[in-house]
Amino acid sequence: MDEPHSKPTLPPDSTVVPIRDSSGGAWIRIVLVVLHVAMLAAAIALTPAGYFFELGYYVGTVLLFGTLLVWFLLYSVRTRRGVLVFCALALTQAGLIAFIGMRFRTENRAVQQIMAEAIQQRKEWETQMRPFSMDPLFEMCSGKRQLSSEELQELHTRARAAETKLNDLESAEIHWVAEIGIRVAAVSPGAARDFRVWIAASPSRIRL
Amino acid sequence: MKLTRDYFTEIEWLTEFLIQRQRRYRVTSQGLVFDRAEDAKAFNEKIDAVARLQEQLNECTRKAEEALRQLSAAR
Repeated sequence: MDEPHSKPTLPPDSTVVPIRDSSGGAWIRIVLVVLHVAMLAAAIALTPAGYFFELGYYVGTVLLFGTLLVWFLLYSVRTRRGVLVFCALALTQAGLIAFIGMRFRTENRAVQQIMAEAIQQRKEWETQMRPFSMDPLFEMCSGKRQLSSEELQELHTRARAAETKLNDLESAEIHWVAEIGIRVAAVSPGAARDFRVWIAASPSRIRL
Repeated sequence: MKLTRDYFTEIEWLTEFLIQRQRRYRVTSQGLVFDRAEDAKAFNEKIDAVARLQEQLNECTRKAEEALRQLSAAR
């Protein structure tokens, strides 16, 4: 016979385990928050210098509101499962930021390589124009040396040859600008924008 | 590129000018001294044009280098 005031016995919930609600629970939360911040800092540190604005553009919302959300979640959860959800969300958030940072890193490496090639190409053109130096003419005009008729004739021919050479370099440059533009755009639209600005800012890249 | 081409065109003209007037000027420590005033005037105009182009080319090179530096730094 059942006792009239006995309480019904519920089966134990094996998955919902409450975390300690004493000072121990508070310490766990503090440690988790510190770990979360450290993880975010490590993920952000993967972003190369100069890309932080873009990082903010892409994941700023996830970083700011995501952090507030998971911290609120951590504050409000009372079960171990809730803490696990916090950990999973925090890891996902940091992973996403690290992923974007790594992509920027790869992009940065590719852009740096292209820029190094661009500098090398410019040096190559400068080297090609070096034989057309007109220094002897200016030395004569400033009274530092006398040039013979043959030497003047030689400089005249050199100036003509330089113009022909410039035509060749001009076609090479047009081809080069188009090619580099496509390569940079394939890596990063932002870098392609900067490259176009550079091209516009430097109309003549062939130095004498 | 146009500036560089203009520069060499001016140089071509200048050398031609000096070849044609070979015995009508002498080289002194002050520079070239022409026998005729109009030659001196023409020469000065041409050498000034060359100097101006040279200056513009240097400015272009400086700007290009600065832009490249900024681009590398920004990336």
